[in-house]
Amino acid sequence: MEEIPFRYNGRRLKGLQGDTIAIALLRNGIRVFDRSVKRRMKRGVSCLEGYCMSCLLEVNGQPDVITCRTPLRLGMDIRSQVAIPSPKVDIRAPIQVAAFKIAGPELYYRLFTKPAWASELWMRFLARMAGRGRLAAPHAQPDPLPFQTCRVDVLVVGGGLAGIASADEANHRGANVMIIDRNDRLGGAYTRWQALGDVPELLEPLTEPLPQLSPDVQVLNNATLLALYEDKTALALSEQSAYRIFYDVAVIATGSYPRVVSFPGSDAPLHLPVQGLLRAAVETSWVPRSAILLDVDSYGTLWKSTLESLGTTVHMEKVTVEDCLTGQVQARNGSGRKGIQLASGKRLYAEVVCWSAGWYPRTELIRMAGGKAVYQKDSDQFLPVLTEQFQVAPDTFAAGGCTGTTGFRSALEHGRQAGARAVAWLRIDANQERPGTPDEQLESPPTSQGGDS
Amino acid sequence: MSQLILCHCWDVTTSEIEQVIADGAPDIEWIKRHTGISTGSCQGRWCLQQTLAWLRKHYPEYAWEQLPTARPPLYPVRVWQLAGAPLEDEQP
Repeated sequence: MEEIPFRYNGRRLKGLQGDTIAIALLRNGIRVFDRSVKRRMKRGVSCLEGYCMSCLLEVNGQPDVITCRTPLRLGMDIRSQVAIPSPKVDIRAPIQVAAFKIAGPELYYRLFTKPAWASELWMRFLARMAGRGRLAAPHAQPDPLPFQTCRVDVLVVGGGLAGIASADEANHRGANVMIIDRNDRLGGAYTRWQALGDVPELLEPLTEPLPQLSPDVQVLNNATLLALYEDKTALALSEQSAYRIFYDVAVIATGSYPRVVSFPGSDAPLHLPVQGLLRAAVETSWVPRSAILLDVDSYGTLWKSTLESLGTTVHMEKVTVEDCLTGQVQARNGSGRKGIQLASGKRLYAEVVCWSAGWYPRTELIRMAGGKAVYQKDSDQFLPVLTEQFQVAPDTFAAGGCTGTTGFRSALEHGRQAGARAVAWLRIDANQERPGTPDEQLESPPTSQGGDS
Repeated sequence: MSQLILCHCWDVTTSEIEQVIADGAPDIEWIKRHTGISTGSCQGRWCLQQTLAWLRKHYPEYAWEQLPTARPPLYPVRVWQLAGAPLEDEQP
């Protein structure tokens, strides 16, 4: 494979074609990318799924780049933002740790409160010490990306099965559809698991082929949706361009992210959900040599065999969330390897520590659009409140993983229905009274059944 | 023994939350504003589930029953970039 030279904190390194920045650093044996702002803890890869924000680095003068979702490009200049002088040896770490020991966690606002001049000096000192380093001079910063505007009837957020199905359905019903996805190809989790061989049984393998999207559907790959605003506009960013999208109805199909399991010391790099490891394996073919797998949701054996088929030695241990939160399970980090101390006192060591704990619906966009996510005790999740018509808020529909379903078959089915409902909603004349939003729960609109394409 | 850090962005530990509650925090909104939990660059995506699970176990009256509204932007972006966004009347 082709090698790609780049720089990290001044060092000349090489990654491989197809790597993300984070994976390229891992290949070079760099595990600690930076330090945290407050306690100067070691930070690096914590999810490989793009939601933990522990791997943020400055890339070509652009701050806070999510390195596990950004492809490596030739000659990139990558820098740590917080650590001084280097992430491995941070001189401020011992000072700060000592300060915390003496003054406690409220060091920032309990010390030097009087007299006023001391307080002012202290605040100025803190401002210099705090934050994610300092921005490059304005002339050294990259220019903002050019904006493109587009106007669509239905904006589908997320290119997984639910997203594809609803875009397909809405397109068949004559709507002008745009689908926006963070990856370089559509298919979401389904395509990823397929690349690993058999799709795990817990995710209900599909019997029918994936819907082929018509060329009329605009597809925006490698783009991140930043916001949905009240005036029905959306903002998205890709590597080359920024987008302002004017839409009438949104279908949110953002799927779910792996559930987080925290235990003492788990904030160190390379303690991550197993789904992230497998995503990296599919996208970049990077796999760790050895891994400790904490089996929380009892699907561990399934992930274990998948990891082993990729060439990783796996030690699996059954633990509970309780064990983790109460400190029965603890991280024991040695030099260059990750360790775990279990409730029994047993210690294990490996290159990475991962856990299998299921999924958690991504409800940020639903909540941004005005929907609600309410705690459900039986599934221990915050699930969005949606009507039978898959509506979560005015002009907003949702389907798939973000509504709490886990199966691929139900993602396709619900996606189709949400797409159909979105178009039906679009067609209702603005003067007519619209059927209820989740708050009102009125009778259902007269739409035909989904899935009749 | 290393501490249980619930929030990676602002390094909020369980003992810090216990301290804020002992100091008389009336609700989770107070805890959030005091410690900065769920206000970092992950915007709660990483920390909130675990924090709420921990609160539900130790201080159930503090845990949210409904997640708060999410605010834009979802991911870190320069204000300089946002400032160039076309306005409503420029729509095609």
